[in-house]
Amino acid sequence: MLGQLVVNGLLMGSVFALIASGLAFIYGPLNLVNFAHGDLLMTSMFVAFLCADKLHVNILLALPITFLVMGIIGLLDYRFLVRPVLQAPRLAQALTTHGFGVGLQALALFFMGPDFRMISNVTFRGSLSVANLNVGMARLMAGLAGAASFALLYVFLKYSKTGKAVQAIAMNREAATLIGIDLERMYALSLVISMLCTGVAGVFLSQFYYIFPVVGPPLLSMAWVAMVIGGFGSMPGAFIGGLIVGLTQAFGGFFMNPVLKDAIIYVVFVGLMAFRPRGLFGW
Amino acid sequence: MSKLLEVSGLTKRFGGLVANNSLSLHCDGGEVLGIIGPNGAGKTTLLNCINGQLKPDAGQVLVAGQNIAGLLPHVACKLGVSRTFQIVQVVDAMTVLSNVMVGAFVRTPKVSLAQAEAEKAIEFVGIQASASAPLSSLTLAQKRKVEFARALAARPKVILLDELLAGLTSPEIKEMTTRIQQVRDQGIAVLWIEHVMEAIMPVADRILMLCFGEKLAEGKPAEIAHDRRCIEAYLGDDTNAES
Amino acid sequence: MLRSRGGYWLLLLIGLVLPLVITPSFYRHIMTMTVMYACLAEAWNIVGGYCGQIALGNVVFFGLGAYSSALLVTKFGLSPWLGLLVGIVVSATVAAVIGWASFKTSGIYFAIATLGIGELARTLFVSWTWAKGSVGIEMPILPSSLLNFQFQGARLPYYYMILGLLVLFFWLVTKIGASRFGYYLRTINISEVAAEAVGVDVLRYKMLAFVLAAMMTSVCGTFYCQYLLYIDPWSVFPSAISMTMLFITVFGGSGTPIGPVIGAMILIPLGELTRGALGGQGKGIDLFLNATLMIAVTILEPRGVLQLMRRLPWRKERTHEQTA
Repeated sequence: MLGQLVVNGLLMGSVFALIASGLAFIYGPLNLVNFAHGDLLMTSMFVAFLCADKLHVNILLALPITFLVMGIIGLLDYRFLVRPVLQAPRLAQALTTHGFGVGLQALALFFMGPDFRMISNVTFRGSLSVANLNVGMARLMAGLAGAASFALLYVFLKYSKTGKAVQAIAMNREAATLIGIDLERMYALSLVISMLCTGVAGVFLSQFYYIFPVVGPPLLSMAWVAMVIGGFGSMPGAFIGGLIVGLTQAFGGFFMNPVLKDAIIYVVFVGLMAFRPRGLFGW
Repeated sequence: MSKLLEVSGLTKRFGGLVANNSLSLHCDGGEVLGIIGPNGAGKTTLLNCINGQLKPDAGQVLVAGQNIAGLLPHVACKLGVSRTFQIVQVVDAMTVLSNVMVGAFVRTPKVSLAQAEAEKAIEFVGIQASASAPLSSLTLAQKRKVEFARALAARPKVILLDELLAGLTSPEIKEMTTRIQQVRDQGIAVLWIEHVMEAIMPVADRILMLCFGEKLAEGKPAEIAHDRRCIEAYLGDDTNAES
Repeated sequence: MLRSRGGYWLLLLIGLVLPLVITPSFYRHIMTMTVMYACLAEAWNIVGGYCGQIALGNVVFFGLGAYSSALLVTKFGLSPWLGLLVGIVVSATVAAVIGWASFKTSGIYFAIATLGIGELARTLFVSWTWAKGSVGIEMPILPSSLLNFQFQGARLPYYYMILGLLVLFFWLVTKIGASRFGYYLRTINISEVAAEAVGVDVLRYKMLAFVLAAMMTSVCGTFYCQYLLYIDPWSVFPSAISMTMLFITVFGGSGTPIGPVIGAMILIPLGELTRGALGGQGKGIDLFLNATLMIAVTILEPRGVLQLMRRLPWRKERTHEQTA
């Protein structure tokens, strides 16, 4: 039983980690708190849903389609909503990004209605039985996709020139401009990468998660907590943070009243803030 | 007889870097202790440790006999330590008078008393003409004075000045230096970090030179000016040194 | 700031007289909600406007105020006024804990922590069966009286009660702005480092602002419960209320006593009327307008309507009036 919880927790945690990295890619380089992140995830989930339901494509095609859509949304978002408030006070950023999120919710509500949806022709069916562990295929693939994407991101950041440029901006914006990094391009790129992370997370989540207009905010909360636990500014931290959140949810949900699992995570979060705000690996 | 400000064995590390290495200094009321040194010597770190913004790893900071090392800045202020900042930290949304009043409030909760105290400080530094002007219309020198007045309105025993003259024009420098001397003459202990040598050397009673976190030399300005080590520290070698 | 004291009195007069002139209950409801939201925004203004701490989950105090009253009345047969006090105490405690934990670190943590508590409170109350969960609590209908905190029929006293509360809050915020507390909050807003160096116990003042805002918000929550006589987790804990408090204040002009009032006066009737006209079928059009307005205002004039008014040519002579 314990093993089952651990596996479920890790798999879901891997997805949280991916969502958290999407957040980190905007917070780090742009120093922007993106309150629309959860709603962007919701958008990618709906796009995936439409791919499956209306276009009848499986996940292999749904992924690039979602990437395209999210990428475009990301660029538009950057150009019209993010760029004007990059230098503005936090409050203005909060309001603009939140407004964008609510706008997305409104569009989802208008076109798709408030009902909970599930994809009927999922690509990953059934479950895998190993030892006495039973893992849903969809969850397994989501977890693996999360880990794989994360690994790709890590490699990108650490070993590619562009990746290092992104890191440089996150650490010291002015110094980065001094060595010739084009801030504009990097900002847009960071946003697009964030959208891609969100796209992957959304597509794989939609295989087993309920999809509805307000699914975003609770997932966003979890992603924030994951980032804080891992420590702001640390990619491995965000991943570990995600895993911890996933595991806490799995164990908390099993041993206690399922609702309390969110409360436990919150208590952990508050405790960390009070006693170790750097998180596990942060600056 | 103990001095108003006595620092002993002050050490501050940032990871592997020792920014302040067992520094000791003293400054009494009515004295100007000038702190000089090349960039990165640890001068501002020293100031931050004295006023409580940083917690030193070792050492004592005695203000009128009381050790304030590691205490929060607002406690240090209540015990008589005021400071100015390298990058001026004033509130643009408030008037000059309001900004200075914030400093006076540490001694009294009453708005009328704080206002009176602030007006005195504003007159002392010489910006009474701009007292009700918005901050955004002031020059750098005037903004520095606002911060200076705010620090004085707290009626400090010790005042820490961090490069008060940076970026000012010649006449502004002369003017500000006069005010600093006047502060000293009030019996306040003045600890003054500065790069503008022509201003600080004639005014300071003693000079302390820091280099790479260590105390390189301490003494009267004349002694320091001829100290070979100090000249080398600033200029690299003595080929450019004066006599 | 309005042209003179006279402006404020005129506003109050209008507020006092309006429901007597416009009698349909739909409009009176909008007026009551407008005044209540103005109160909520004034509370937020203290911690978010003056002190600059981005509190994103103040709705939690609203809900706690509502539920304290509801539970005390329905489960223990006690007076809703006692519920008001209990709500204040509970909210103050929650605010103190969150504030203490997060104010020592950067503002981001505070924002995230407050965001989280709002979401958490809703999910907790949804599954708290003793508190009736999603079903919600229906208040017993009692004869109209101040003691019972209920008024049947025209329900006009509710409006005047909340208007009285707004006057109190407005006065409070004005007093704070002119006191040491206010000066300290405004300094903390711009530079905590400078504030500390000049003798301000930054942690303590941030907490005071936040706890005060929490208590004020809680009172509104209790009012709301007594006004609607029915509450459930979705109506008293939605994050939309948190963001509305914030938006109203910023829209009207944060850091001034009249800003939240102006913001509420414009935005709440606008929201209620558009929702009635467009959003009824749950299609989210009013949400969309809301979002567009939020984005437009923030990008065009982040300092709010008040600043917009100052930019008008016939107001130019007042440009050096910075503080409220």
